[in-house]
Parts: sequence; structure tokens; C-alpha cells
Amino acid sequence: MYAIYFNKFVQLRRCIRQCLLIMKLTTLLIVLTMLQVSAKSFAQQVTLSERNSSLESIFNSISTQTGYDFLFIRKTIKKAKPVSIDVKNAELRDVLQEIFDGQPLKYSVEDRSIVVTSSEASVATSKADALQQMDASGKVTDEGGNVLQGATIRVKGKTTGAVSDENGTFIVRNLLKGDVLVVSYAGFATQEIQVNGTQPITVVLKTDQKALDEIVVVGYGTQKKSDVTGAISTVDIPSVLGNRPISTLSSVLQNVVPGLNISIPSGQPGSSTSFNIRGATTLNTSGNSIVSGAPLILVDNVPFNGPLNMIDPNNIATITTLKDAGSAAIYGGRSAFGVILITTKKGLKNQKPQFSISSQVSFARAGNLPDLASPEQFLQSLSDMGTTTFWSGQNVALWRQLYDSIQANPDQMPASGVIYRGQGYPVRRTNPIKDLMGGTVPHVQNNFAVTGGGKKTTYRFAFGNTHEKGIMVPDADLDHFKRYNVASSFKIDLTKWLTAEVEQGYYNEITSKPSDQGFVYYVAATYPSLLPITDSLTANSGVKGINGSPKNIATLSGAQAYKTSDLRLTGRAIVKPFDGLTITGDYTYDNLQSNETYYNRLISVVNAMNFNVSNFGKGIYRLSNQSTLYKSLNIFANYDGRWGDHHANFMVGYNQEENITSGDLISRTNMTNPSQPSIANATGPIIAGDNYASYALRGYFSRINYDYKGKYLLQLNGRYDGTSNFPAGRRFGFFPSGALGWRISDEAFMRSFSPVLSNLKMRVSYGSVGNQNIDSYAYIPIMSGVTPGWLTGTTAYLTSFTTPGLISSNFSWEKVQTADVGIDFGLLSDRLTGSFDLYQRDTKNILALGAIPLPALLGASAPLQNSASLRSKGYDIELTYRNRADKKVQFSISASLSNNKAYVTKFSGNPNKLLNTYYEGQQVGEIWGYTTDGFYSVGDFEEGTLKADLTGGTLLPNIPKFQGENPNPGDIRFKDFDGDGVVFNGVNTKGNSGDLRIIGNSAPRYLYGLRGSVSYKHVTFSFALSGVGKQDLALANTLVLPTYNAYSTIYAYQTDYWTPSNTDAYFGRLYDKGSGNQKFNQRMPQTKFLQNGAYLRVNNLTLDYAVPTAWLRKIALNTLHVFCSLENPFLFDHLPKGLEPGLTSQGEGMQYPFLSKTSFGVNLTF
Amino acid sequence: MQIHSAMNKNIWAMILLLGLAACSKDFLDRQPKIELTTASALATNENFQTYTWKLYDYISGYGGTPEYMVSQEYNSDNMIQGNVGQQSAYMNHTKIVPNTGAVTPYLVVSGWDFSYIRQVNVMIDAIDHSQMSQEKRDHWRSVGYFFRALRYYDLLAAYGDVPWIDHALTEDSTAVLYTKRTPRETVAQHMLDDLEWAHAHIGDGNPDGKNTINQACIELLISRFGLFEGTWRKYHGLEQADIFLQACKTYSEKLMERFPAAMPNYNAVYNSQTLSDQPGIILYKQYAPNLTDHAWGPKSIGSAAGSTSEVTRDAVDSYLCTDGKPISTSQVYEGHQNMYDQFRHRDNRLYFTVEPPYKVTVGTPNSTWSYTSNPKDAEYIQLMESLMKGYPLTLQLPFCLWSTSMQENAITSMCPVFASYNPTNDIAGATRLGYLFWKQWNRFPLDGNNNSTTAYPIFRIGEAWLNYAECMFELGLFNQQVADMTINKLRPRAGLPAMEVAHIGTDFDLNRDSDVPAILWEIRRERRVELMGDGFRFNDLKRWKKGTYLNKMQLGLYVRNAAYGNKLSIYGGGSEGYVQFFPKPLGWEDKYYLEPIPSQELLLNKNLIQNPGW
Repeated sequence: MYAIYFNKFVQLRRCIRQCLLIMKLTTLLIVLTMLQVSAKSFAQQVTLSERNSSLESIFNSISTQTGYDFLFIRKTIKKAKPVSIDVKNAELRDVLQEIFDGQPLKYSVEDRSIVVTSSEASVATSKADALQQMDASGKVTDEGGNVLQGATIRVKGKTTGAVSDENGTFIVRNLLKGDVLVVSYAGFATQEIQVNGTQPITVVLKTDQKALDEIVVVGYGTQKKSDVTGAISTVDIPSVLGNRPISTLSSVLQNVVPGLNISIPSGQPGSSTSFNIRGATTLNTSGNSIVSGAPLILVDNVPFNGPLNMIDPNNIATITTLKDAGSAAIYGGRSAFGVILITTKKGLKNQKPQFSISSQVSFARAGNLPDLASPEQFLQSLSDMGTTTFWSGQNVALWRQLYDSIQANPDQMPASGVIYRGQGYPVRRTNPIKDLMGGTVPHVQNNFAVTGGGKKTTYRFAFGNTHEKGIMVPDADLDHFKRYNVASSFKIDLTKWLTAEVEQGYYNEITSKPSDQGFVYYVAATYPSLLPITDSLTANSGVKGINGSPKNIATLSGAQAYKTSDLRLTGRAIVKPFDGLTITGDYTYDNLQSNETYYNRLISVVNAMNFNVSNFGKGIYRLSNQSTLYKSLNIFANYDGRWGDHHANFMVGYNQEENITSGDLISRTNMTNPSQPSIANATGPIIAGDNYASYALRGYFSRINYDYKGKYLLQLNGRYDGTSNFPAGRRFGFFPSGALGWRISDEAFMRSFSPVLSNLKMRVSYGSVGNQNIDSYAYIPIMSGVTPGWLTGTTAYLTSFTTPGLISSNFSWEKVQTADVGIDFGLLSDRLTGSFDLYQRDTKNILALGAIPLPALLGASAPLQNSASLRSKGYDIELTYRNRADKKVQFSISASLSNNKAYVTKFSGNPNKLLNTYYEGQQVGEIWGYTTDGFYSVGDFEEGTLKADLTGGTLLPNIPKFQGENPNPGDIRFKDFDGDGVVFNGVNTKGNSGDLRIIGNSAPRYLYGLRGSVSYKHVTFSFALSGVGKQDLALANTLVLPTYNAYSTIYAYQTDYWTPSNTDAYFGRLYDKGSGNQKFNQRMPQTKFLQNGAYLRVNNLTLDYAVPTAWLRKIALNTLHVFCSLENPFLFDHLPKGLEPGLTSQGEGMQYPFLSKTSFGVNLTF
Repeated sequence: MQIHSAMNKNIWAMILLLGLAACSKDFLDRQPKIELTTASALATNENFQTYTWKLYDYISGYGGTPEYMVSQEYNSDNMIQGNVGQQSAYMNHTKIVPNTGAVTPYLVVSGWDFSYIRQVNVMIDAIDHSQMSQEKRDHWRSVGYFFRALRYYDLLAAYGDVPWIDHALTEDSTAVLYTKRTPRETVAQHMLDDLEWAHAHIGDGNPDGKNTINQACIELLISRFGLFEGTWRKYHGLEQADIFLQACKTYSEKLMERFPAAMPNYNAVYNSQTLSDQPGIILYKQYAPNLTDHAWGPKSIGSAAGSTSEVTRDAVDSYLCTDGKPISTSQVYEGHQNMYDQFRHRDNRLYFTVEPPYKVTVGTPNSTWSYTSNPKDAEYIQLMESLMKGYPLTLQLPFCLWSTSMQENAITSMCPVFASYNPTNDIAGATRLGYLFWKQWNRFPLDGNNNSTTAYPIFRIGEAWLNYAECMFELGLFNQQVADMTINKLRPRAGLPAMEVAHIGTDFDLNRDSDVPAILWEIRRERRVELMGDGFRFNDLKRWKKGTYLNKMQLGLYVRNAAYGNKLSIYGGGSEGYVQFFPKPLGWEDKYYLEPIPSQELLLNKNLIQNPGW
């Protein structure tokens, strides 16, 4: 029995990595190291009290106390005598001397290991010895002494072997003397070692510059990175995620992969996000907006259909983005706009159970809330606009008097308002927005995982929970996100040729928000800084009631909560009938269940602005259930062969998927008990509905990879794909793609550059993929049930059908053709690596409704037709620099940049280039608007024609005016380019757009990200930034323009508006309640109010402290990190306060801001 | 290569089996389970009934956006919407050629929109392939013809010539899509032929249940359309006016036989929760709490100071006095200088339409009130009380708003209240001109919200009587007997004496438009008053070719400005006079008689020719 003994409890990876263990000892080395070690480390204190104990148990005790590992072969110490020792706080050196005294053993100390060997000279091997079976053990490290986990050790000519574990150690059993071990590891040169004895072997692998053999996950397989010919980016999630306090994948990946665009439209916990690769992809089916289509997302090679928020980033190992057709096309009809491959974490063979626990607490708050103008400014704006009575009767002049007099006597200030002659007047300065969203809320995240494996098995089990409270009235707890997830995987080698794998994932999440959030936003965005924020309020009538402040409405209006759960089971069989051939079959069952409860409670409140009693909410209670049942089957075979310098991999496979969604909904009004809503206890009419949709896909695919000497690379893909979304006869399409690569740095003539240019590869790919991402049944003229407004009684709705839409006779696949040229390079021994890709993507035969403008006589939207084309062109750049591993201060920095422009290349139905739809040659994102040319002045009108309020004047003959409008002084004047005296949009075509011009572009350009870390000893600082370099935004809402609607308020940055005494203002003239000419002057898209959407966001700053190993041993831990992290601490942008680029309006222009978080956490393994 | 010995045939067989199982033939054939296809949806009588319910939504009643009836009146000389910049586009020349006209979520009545025509045609086209009896086929074809004519009526009124489309088009129907407009004459003839056919073939009684399209509805539509087309042709110099006037006569007579009486209370026509089984109600739109409601309730009517619907002085002046005479010749009219006097001894319909004047002392809390010491201030409060006996939740003074009952919330201290001068801080009912349009002011339901459920009278006998009276005059057949069958049936509930045709001479109304014969002037007056705010006036002015009526200043109450802090704008300046809000109209242009066709449509179809003047 041979064994390497390690301390059972203490496995500290970081510590071990720093160890230098060499088991083939030379005397010199022993002496040297002993001297070295004794100098610094022998000060360890040991306490032992043993009587006739085995040497092994004494080793155990010492190891536990000191953290030193003993390395020995059990057979060797069998000869040792039992030991008796009694020492207290003795030096380790002394203790070792005592226990080895008189033993047939000698020992040496290697950094933190004590190597025990026989002191007897090796006995000459006899013939019998040579035939005796033995085990070989050892350790695999790289040149820097870092242990290599997962290295493959094969016995040459035999089928036996092993894989190095987390500490880099391995055992190969039943060897004969003279057997040769072949040790290989991706990215390193393979080494062969002859087994000559029982001494532990240390294998130091040298990095293989030629191979750079990082393994990359590609469609239905893996590839060496050096062989990759497509535009592929791989992200190691644990390193990107680090210790950031975020629970969703989308937040992790923002601007990390160039070309992978992630939109997070709201900062609300649990809000949905979307992914896109390389920008505009196609038109929506209505043909009225260009969409940035979603890539196909696969988890462990099986499409994932649930919301992305469901995946806990802590369970992800890598994410690979396949950006070009050359690499994505193998996935067929859903991969037209790229593929994201998510690989989950797995266990490793021959690994003891490793437990990891992480836990963090964050304190989140809104980083960016709008700034209301002061009460004085608000009241002033009312009188400037000529408003005499506001809402339902406040006399503006009186209001100002009341406000001023109360400010003069602040002790008499009432919390709510003053009622004067039956009309309430709020008089106290408040901040209703802060009242609603100004709180600080806790976020908690916990994760637990155990991984490991035996000789034939690997396993991983993980559990995580996240609880994030939203900032909207945290006390009411209607705004929150909770998630629980359990994931496990188990893999077993049943026979030498058959491996079975089971993966299970269960996610459960709950998101909740106030049911009438839109109304809450309306109130919060439009009410001035005078709004009472007390809990109750006395109405004009004298009745005391609930104050209708945004906070109270949000608190009382009930919740809209979604419970979503997903159960996903995958069974997989991997068959290896003979060397080189692998057949994989998997079947996945995925059931996504979503349940919504919505209660819009009817509440009676005192309106905080007019002090009248009014009701909000409809008293509706709604339940709805949605279920998605997804099943997929993949069978594919890989054969890998090498013939001299020729190497080829053949893959052929079959895939089928089936997706069925169904749901039901029921709602009712009039709750008998409003605080306990239910369908059963309501008295209103029951309203119910259901839905069902199904689609299926089937594909046959094949791929050939070929390389000659690893220098010249070729890849060919083909897929024959069918989908139920097209009519019979048009369901199948064949989609080929191919790629070429040339590893220039491997050429002889490049050798002289190799010290500087360590790697250089050129690659080019082209492919055509079909896109079938349209609604099911789009080719069938269908009639859905609708509820008409007509009633024949008073108790129930009638039912009717929609009129069937038009269905075109030519209806088939969109085709997406992508060409990509790329360079991968490494400089300075690959300390600086990078890649650059240039691409062009053509989406042809876009299926869009209404894409062809047809006369209104048709009476229907134009049918879905393959009628348009879109082209996007752009580039992605990725750069990483890591300094040399032997430096004291370690740092790394990665940057990404992507940019693209998209054009409509065909829009056959719009030969007139009408501007209200797309036209050929249009750049995506174009903003058409007027050119602001100052304000109309009094001098622009005929003298004496203006009334006292500066309205109703007659313009001088040469002054242009907007068509159909009669301007007044202070209104915005636009440039009349054609000089016809009328500003208008002509016939609204590209050729005749009158005075409309392209004034900007709303597509985000120059998306960049920057991440990096610096560590010194135990402390690591890391950061992540992201941003957009250029973007124009034509925003028109309450937060951008003053008194945008009747009864909207004004914000602090909106007070510079035109008045007769302030003619040099930023904003134009305001009219009573946003009426009058405001709609055609302020709200028109125009150069003046175009916003600059460029920004730089500091996503995260983290400071991490790794507790030194020596301390950890005492508490039986392997690693322990404590960290502090700031999420979204800074934003540099050009928008008015309270607006953030990328966020969508939740109501009246107001957004749910990204949350700034301060978090603290620990992360430990044992 | 060495194949593992244990790898037996079974494994290969399993893999093969899996592959075969996957290859079921109809795997990619997926059919909807909930939605219906045209073939399955329109087969039986019940199917047609179900499909047709949706077509009723063209009848918007109190409407979505815009409100069908009132919004049409803002274009006319009857009413204004008291908001800055909201003057009729036909008055201040802000009417422009739209870029697009086609499919919008809300069908604009006068829009170049044929989606509704398609909805109807899909149903008509499906009749021939259905499984119904000939009788049922005829019935549904009749219903389809009715709805198609209803839409064509609005298109014809807006555009004159419009393409006639009698089956559902596809994008391949290029011959129709890119054709010229069908001449007005042809379209009108098609409509009349269709309606007459429908009248002869629609099922007897109410085959689809109560309050559905039946013979009476068709008669009313022919009455309305016949009068419109007949008078349009007459006053715009087109031929064959009499065909349509005759049709109006014929079908109005049929209808008048069916409906001998009208609802006895004018207020109840507009302020009832249902109009089921009411005399003279032919078709109405029903609303119901929690199902379908509308926003034309007390909140919209009086809430936002300065954006209320208001009646012009010109319209107020058109109401007769209780002696049956117009204000210019009445013996009982007390003059216009004071609102109390102006409203005394008038057609009751004035009180039902425009909020009468009053003043009260508002108490504390402000949901209480008491009379002032001046008995005049109480006059109309008491008058409304007597007129509203039996209708406690409508048209009650003093005015109050936002409440779940009449007395729960702040009382408005008086009428008129001006938006620009409101020292009493009255919460509701503030106007620009002084005449608040409050015809549909009620408390249904009693929930204090803006969810009104008042039924809307779509077709009622009152309109048919007015159509008949007018067409008989145009045909030269109007006499006392006709007046008694029509106008004089409307008069009693207005508190007016009967119209005596013999007494109407050229000096009956000194304010008469001299182009219009005196009797016709009185017939038109009755129409204007009875249908005030119902959306007819603008089309009436167009068919009479009287667009120039829009050149009149839209004036309000006569005031002494000093009494209003000199905050009001007085027409012509001075210290007293008529309140003005909008500037003087820039003047009617003849091109406004027909709407402009959207510019995009002209680009798409070179055969379309823009209406004259645009």
C-alpha cells in the first residue's frame, strides 16, 4: 500500500501553488533547501505527547499543528519504529530530529512540505523487482511552480492513466518498471517520463508557445484556441465576476466581450435584460422598428429558454460568444445572430470534496435621482406661464403669498398644507421623489458548492440564494427580487467506452413591484417639490384621509409579483467505441413555469396636489399562469484523426427541439375583502383567457476541421435545417459556412520575430444562416378572440374575433450572411494578447409586416413578406496585458472596444423613400429633426399686432413660421432651409423633406469596457468600467423639457426658460399647462434639445484581502477572502440629473436608476 | 483502431432507434389550438354573430380618442374646447395635409382609413362559403351592408369621391389599390342600393337580440344619409338630389310609424344608465361598471380649469324663448347683459345643455353651502331642482365635482367662473366664455372616479323627425302637418309652444341668414338645438355649404370687465362687452368642404388626385 499523505483538512490552493515541491531529490538540493527553510520557517512550535505511536499518526499531528505536509511512500515508513515523544511548544526542527532519530529514514524540508525518504541505499533491482507491479505518484506543475490541475497522465501503450487533482498530484497504479508516463496539459508541451522507482515524481511542464492550447468550447465540441478560425470570445466567469455584488449574468458581462451588447433597461432588481451580438440585426415583424435580435443561448450545449436572470453566475465556468457565421452556423435556424455558449462548473476526477461558501451583504441606493426645482422656482414658472389657477383651483398668486408667509414663520409651518377658502395649498418644501426612492436597501447573496470526484466519477452540487430589495418604498416590500437555485451534475464512466452524465438545474425566482408602478411614476415625475409627503392629509372637505403621495400610492396599491421556476434535466451518454471517435447523445427536458399575481387595489386618497378625495386603482385581481415545455435531443459524433502532418476532425449530428407554451389568465374585480384579494371572494364578472403556441425544429449538421502542421487551418460547416414556423414545402433550408486560418507565427520566416511577436494568426470566415425567429403560425391567417366594447347586457362581455391579417404567398427564411476577417496576436511572450475582427453582416429577405407601404385602401397592414435587407459593418477589438508571473506586484488589464454601423440596404416597397418607414440607404438610428434657429422676438411681428400677453401677433412677411402654427415671441424658431417661409416636412420623403434634416444618430457607437486588477501580497484591487463613446438621444419628456404636459412640474435644470425679461434662455416660452405652441416648438425633434448619450460608468471597484494561509490552517480552512466592493459608484455623462443612458422610461420620462451598492463579503473554501 | 469488445450491437441499435423515433413525419407540422383560421371561424350563424360584435365598435358612443360626438362639435360654431391653441383648425388655418392617413389604433372618423371596410368585407366574403341557410345568408349580408354604409357615410362626408371597395383586398389586388377614386355619385348610389337591399332582406324583429342592427336602424341610416347626400347635392350644385331626399322621406316615414313617441325628458336621453326599452330609442351604446366604461363623466366635464367644453354665445342665442320666438323678436326675452336675464324664459334644452347661473355661500367644510341673501342667485338652483325631479344624480346645482355623491366634496360657489379670474378659488367648472357644456353631467356610477357608464343614444327618433322635417322642406312638402309630426313632438318637453308654420315670416327672426328661407331657418334651428353637442353641426354646415358660419367670432358671456378684475379679454376692447378667448377666425376656405388626402397615399398611387385647393 502506497500513499501520499496530505493533511486531510487543510487544502489551501493558493498556498500550495506557491510551494515548490520537487521529489526527485539531489543531495545538494536537500542541503540548500534545508538551510533555506531552517532559516525562516523552523520557528514553528509543536506540542506532542505520544507513546509508541506510528510515525504516520505523528506526522498527522505535526501537520495539523504546523500546516506542513508530509510527503512519503507508505512502504518506506513501514520499516520505521514506533515513536514516543513528549514536547511542549518545541521547535519543529527539534521535533523532527527527535522522531527521525534512529529511523531508517531521512527527511528534507521543501518550503512547506517535509519529504520523507529511505536512508538506505537503493538495493539493486532484481529481475523479480522489475516484474513487480508498483504505483507511481507525483505532482504536476508549470515552470513557475504553480500546480496544474486536470493534467492528463497516460501510460504509453496502455489504457490506464490518471488526472492530476486540485493540488496537482496524481497516482498511477499497477505499473511495471520501465513504463512511460505521458503527461499532457492544454497549453503545455507534452512530456514523457520513464518510471524507474517508487520515488514521487515531479513533472514540470513547459508552456508550449506553439500550441497555446487553451481549450475553447465551440459548437458540439471543443477546439484548441490555436485552431480556432472563427470570431470567438471566451470569458472565464469566475475571474470576471470576482467578488462583485451582482446576481445576474447580464451585469457581469457588460462591455466585457466586444460586440456582445447587453441592455439592462431598468435598475429595478429582477428586471429583464437582453443580449445582442454586433448590433442591429433585422426588422421587427411589424416592419416599424429595427431590432437588435437576440443570440441563441445554450447552457452546456442545450438551448436555454428561460429568463437569463435565472442563471446564477456563480455556477458558470465560461461563456463563449460565437460571433460570426463561421462558428455559429452549426446551430442552424436560431443562430443567425450569434450564439452564446454557457459552460457550467463541473467536478473533477480524483478530487476530494471541496466545499466553498460565499456570502455577501450589500447596501444599495439610487445613485442618480432627478432634482426638482425649488417651490419658489415652481411657483414662479406658473406665473411666468400665465397660469392663474393650477389643478382644480389653486390661485397661483395667493399660493405664492401663502408660501412666502409660511417661510417667514417656519415654526407655524404645517406638515401638509394650508386650506384657504376651501382650497388646499401645499406650502412645505419636500422631495417626493426621494420619499419614494431615496432609501438604502439591503441585498444579500449566499452561495454554497461542493465539488469533487472519484476515479470514475465527478460531481458538483451547488445552492445559492439572492434577496435584493428594491429602493421603491422598501418598508412596504413590494419591490424585490428573490432567487433560489439548486444545480447539480454527476458524471460516471460506466465502462471504458461509455460515460453517463446527468445534469439538473432548478431555479426559482420571485420578482415583485407595485402594481400601479406607471401611475406612481407619473405622480412622482410630475408633482412639484411642494407635494406633501405625510401619511395622511385633510381634504378640502375637512375629511382626513390617506395622502396620495407617490410613496403612499406605491405602498397601498398592491403588488404585481411573478414567480418563475424552471426545472431542467439533461441526460447524456458519451460513447467512445474506438480511439478518436466520440458519440454523444443528450436529451433535455425543461419546464419553465411562470405565475403572476396582480392586484391593483382600489384606494381612496386625498390628492396631495388639489386636496380633493379621489380614487386610484380598479380593484382588479388577476392570476395568470404561463408554462413553457421544452424538449431537445442531440446526437452527434466526433472523429479525430492524424495522418502525419495532416490532422482532421469530422463531426456529424442531428438535433431536434420542440417548444410548447401555454397559459391561462383569470381576473375579477370588486373584492369583498380588499386586504385579502382572491378570485373566489370577488363579486365582479370573471374574465378569463388562455393561449397556446408550439414550434419545432429539426436539423442535420456536419463539420470538418482540417489542419496541416497546425499552421494552415480549414473549417467547413453545413446544416440542413427545418422549422415549423414556415409553411410545408418551405420549411427546410441548407446553410453552409466556412473558414480559413493561417498561423503566421509558426512559419520559419517569422522565427526571428518570435521574442517579440510570440503569436500571430489570421483568419477569415464566411457563412449563410437562416433565421426562423418569428412567431409561430405567422403563415396561417388566424383569428384570435377579442373582447369588443359593445355590450348587450350589463353583466358580461361579448366575444368576437380579430380580422385575419394578410398572408403573403412568398414567405420563407430570412438569410443572414456574415463575413469576418480577424487577427489574433500575442506579444512579449504572450504577456500582451489581443484580437481584432472586422465584419460585415447582411440580413437578407427580412420578413416584415408593413415593410412594403401599400395604399390604405388595403385596410390592413401589408403582409409579412421577405422584403428588406439590412447590413451592419463593424469591428471588435480585445486586448489583455498581464505582467510576468515572477513580479512582486501582479497586474493585468483587459480592454474591449466595438463599433458598428447598420444600413438599410433594401426596402423595395418604399421607392419614394417616405420617412415614416425605412428606405434604402438609410443609416439605422437616424434622427430627423429641425434645426433650431433661436427664438421669435417681439421684433419679428408687425408693430401693434401683439396683444398685451405677447400673443396673436402678425409675423413680418419675411419671417418663417411652422406650417399650421401661429408663433408668438419666445417660441422656438426653426431654420427655413428652402426659404419658402414655411417650416415643414415637405411630403416627408428623403427627397422632399422640406426643412427636416438628419440631425443625429441614436445608435450607440464605440462601446468600450476596461477591467483590471493589481495585487500585492494578499491584497488585490480590481476595477471594471464600461461606456459608450458616441450616441445622440432625442428625448422629449417631463424630465428633459419643462412642463412637458399639463400639470407637469419643472426640474432644477429647467428653470432657464424664455420670458420677456429672459430672452436669452435655453428653453423656449412656456404656456399654461404645457398647452399653446409648446407642442410644436419644444417637443419637435430639433438640434437644440438633442442630448449627448455618451457616458463612462465605473461598474465596480473591489478590494480583496486573502487571509494568509498560515492563519487559516488553525481554523481548518483552505482559503478565506474578505472583500469590500462598490458597484456603480460613479457615472460620467451629459444627461440631466436623474436620467441615465440606456435606461428606459418607466413613466413620464422617469427611470428606475441603477443602484449603487456598497458590499462586504467573505468567500471561503475548505 | 480497435473497437471496444463490450460495445455491443445493442448500443448501436439504441442509437438508431432514438434517431428513428425523432424522425416522425409531422414533427414540424404545428397548428394553432386556440386561434381560429378563417375557414373554421366563419361557418355558422353563431360564428357570424360572434364576428359581427366587433363591427359594432365603429359606433363609438362616448368614444375613446377622440370622443366622437363632442369633438366633432369643436370644429363648428356650436362649441369650443377652452384650451390655448385648441381653436378649430378650420378657423385659424392650422389644417394641413397629413403625411399618412392609414392604419391607426383609433379610427379617426374623417381619416383616410379603410381598415373597417376590410373588417366588414371579410365577413361579407365569407357568407358564400358558409353553412347557413339562404335566409341567414341574406340577414348577415344585410348587417354587413349596414356597417359598410355606416363607414362609407363618414368617408363620403369627408372626401367626396372615395374608392368603392366591396370585397376584402389582398396586396395583389393592384387593380383596386392603384385605381382612381370612385365618383361620389357612384359611391352614394352603391350605399343607397345596399341599404335598401339590406332593409328588404334583414331578419325580422331583432334576430340578434335586443339593441342590435335591425330594420329600424337601416331606416334611420337611410334617413340620415339621404338627407345628407340630398342637401349636399342641392347646395353644392350636383344633380339628382331628389333621389336621396326621397329616400330620406320614404324611410323616415317608415321609422316614424314604428316610433310614435320620444323620451319625455330630454335630460334622460343623455343621463341614463341604460336606454333599454325607452320610447324613441332605436339603438344605444350600453356601458356597465367593471366592463366597459367611458371617461365622459363629471371629471372631464368640469374638472380642469380652462380645458372644458363650452358652448358659444351664438349657439346659446339660437335657443328660443318660451313664447316660441327667437331672442330677436321674443316678448319675454330679458336681454343679454346679465346671465340671469339671458337664461330666463328659454327653451328648457338650454338648461339641460349649458350650466345655468347661480351663486351660493360655501360653508366649512366646503361640501356644505347655503343660499346667498340675493334670491336671484337661487333662481336656477330651484329651477334645476324642479326640472330634475326624479333624476337626482344629474344636472344639479350648485356644481360640485370629484365626489362620490353630490354633496361630498367642494362646492363651486357660482356660475359663471372664469379660468382667468377666480378669486373664490372654485375648483370646478371654470370656463373661458362662461357657458359650460354640461349635457352629460351625472354621477353614474357613484364611485368618484372618471368611469362613467351613462348609455349613449346612437339612433333616436328625434333625429329622424328633424331629418324628415328638413327633407320635406327641401322637397317643397313642408307644412303644419309635417311640423306637427316632427318638431312639435319635440317642443313640449322643451317647454315651448308648438311651431306654427303660418306665423313664420321673414321677420320671425331678425338675425336670420337672409340666404335661408325663414321656415327652413327655423327647421335648422330646431335641429341645432335638439342635437347640440351630438356631433352633427359640422357636417350640417358643410352640406348646407355654410362653412362661412365659422367666420363668426366665438364669443362668450356679456360682462363688465371690472367685475372680473379686468382679467377678461373683451371683444373689441372696452370696459364691457362679450368675452373672447380665441382670436378672430382667419376665415373659412372652400377647400375645407373636402378633407385633404394624405400625401403618402398620393405618392403610392399616382391615380389618386388631391381634393381641390390642397
